[in-house]
Amino acid sequence: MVQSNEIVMFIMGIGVLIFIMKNSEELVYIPHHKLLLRSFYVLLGAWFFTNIEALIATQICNIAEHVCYVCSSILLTLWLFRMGFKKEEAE
Amino acid sequence: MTILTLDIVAFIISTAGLVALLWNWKYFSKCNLALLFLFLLSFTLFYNFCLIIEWGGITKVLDPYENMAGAIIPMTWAFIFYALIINNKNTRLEESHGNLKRTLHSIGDGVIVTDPKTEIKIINPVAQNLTGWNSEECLGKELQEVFKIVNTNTGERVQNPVKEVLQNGQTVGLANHTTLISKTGEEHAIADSAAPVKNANNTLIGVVLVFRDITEKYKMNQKIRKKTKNLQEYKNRLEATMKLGNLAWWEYKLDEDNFLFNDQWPKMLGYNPDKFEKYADFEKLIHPDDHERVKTAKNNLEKHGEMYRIDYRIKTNDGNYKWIYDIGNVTARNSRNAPIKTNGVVVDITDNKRVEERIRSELQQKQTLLKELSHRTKNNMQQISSMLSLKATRSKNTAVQKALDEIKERIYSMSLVHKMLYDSQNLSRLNLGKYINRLVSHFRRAYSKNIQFKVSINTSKIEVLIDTAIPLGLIINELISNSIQHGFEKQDKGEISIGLTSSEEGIIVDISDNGQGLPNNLDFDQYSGMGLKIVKGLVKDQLEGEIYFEKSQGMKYRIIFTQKQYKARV
Repeated sequence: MVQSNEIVMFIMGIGVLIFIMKNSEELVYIPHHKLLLRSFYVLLGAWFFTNIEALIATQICNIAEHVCYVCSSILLTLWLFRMGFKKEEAE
Repeated sequence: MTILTLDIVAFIISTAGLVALLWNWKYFSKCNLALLFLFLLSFTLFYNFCLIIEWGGITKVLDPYENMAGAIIPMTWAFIFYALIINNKNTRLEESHGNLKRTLHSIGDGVIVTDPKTEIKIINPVAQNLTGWNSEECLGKELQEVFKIVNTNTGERVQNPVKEVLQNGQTVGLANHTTLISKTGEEHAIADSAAPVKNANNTLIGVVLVFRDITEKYKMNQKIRKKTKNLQEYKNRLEATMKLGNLAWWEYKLDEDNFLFNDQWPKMLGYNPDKFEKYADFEKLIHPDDHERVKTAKNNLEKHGEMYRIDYRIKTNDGNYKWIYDIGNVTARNSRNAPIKTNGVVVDITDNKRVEERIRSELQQKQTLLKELSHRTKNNMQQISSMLSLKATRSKNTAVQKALDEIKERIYSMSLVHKMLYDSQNLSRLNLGKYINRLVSHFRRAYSKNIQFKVSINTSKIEVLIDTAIPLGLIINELISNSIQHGFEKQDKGEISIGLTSSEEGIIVDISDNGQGLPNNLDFDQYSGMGLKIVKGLVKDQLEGEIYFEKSQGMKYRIIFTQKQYKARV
């Protein structure tokens, strides 16, 4: 069953994606920007799967959603750690 | 069960992310991102926690909060990306500003940036140094006040280039000979330009003035200009002098086989200078009789560095030959001291040669004439002498005989001079030593008394003019006659010494005898015998010398005189 809060979450995610695409030239200056962006893209994927699981392949989409959560967490944590290393390099 | 596990893993990893954030809290705080990430991670953890509760089947009470967290998370991401973009922009702007500042400080030229009102906005250290104003003093001040420029030559104020840029919007170079006067009054010759600063809309927002101190360069240029001018003047003078003196120059670079010369040389020979390129063009014009001599001289110069001065004939354009005086020398050598460059001067001496030839011919004629004259004079004198001898032998009066003999001796001493001149190569001078020797030989033969003549000639180098030789011969003749006739009047034996020396005082002739001499009460200066009168007159008037007299054990005379120079009588 499609839940309204999940649709809102996905639409907001799409909004953020549009913002990213519009400012892609600026975002390349962020250190290790690929990691951070991939973390968001995977999270957006999770929001996508949570919405379509009500329509098709409920079980697979559900698992994909939660796998995406894990991956997004990993990528974000990695980025945070890497930023720590960058700080040390700078010092 | 699988999903629950995944949610737990996600929760744990997000917790690790939170730890990483807290670990790097200071760094993220500087970037104003720490709170945003804390917010994101907190809600992510809460969301994961809600999922664990949900999938663990514990309670559904957190569902509304889960929905709320799900809505906040994308918003937080949006804020994070926005903050990151702003932060990066600022960082890059700061970096860019820092780079610009460092660049301005590193530039070796003075840089001043003004706004459209010509108020100074940026001034770099070099500009501060040259203007004598520091940045605190001059920022915001009118450029005119800080950047005072005048014309180096006139000292008049020069229009500020910034105003021109503001009027025309074009880059303007500073005028030549511009001097910047610093705050302390120091003067710097400067050069360079002012250019407009425009924004993205092509609107003029200021002017950048770039200048550099060229005082040393300016002074150097002034020196070079002055030296160049002097050199040019010197060159013009030299060329004018060479033209006036009909002189030409040549230069031969041995290593490059390059022969250079000025146009004067071909022109001197009546040729077009364009027809001459190398030395061979000149060489083929040298007279065949002189060719070998010139070649040897050139070879010795180029191989052994021996300077040469040589005259030779060279064919002119009209088929005649000109006499050339060529002086060549080595002017540069390599490290092994071998000549690598030779230079020379060429002079047209055709006219000189003609004059020389004429003089030589005339001299030859005059020498022949002079020789003939000496010969005839000597012959005439001998004839007079013979006639006097004849007259003397016929006369019965001994006084007359004596007088005639004396005159004859005098004539002999004069004719001997002409004879010696005729015999010698030099027709104007004769060797005094030889003359005295021959004169004394004559006395030895002429006088029957047993008189010994001692001649001491200390120098053989004295050569005198006929004007000196004749009076000296007469003097010697008179003094010896006097000695023989008066000094040895009462004796048949005697000795006469004649000495000739040269000293700083002049030429010294000593004549002495061991005869009876003059009486003690007789004063030589007052004595007025005919012979001595002649001697005194000749010494004083003809030789312009002095005579000294001594009367101990006979007579001693010393005559001192100096060499006479030839005086033209006509």
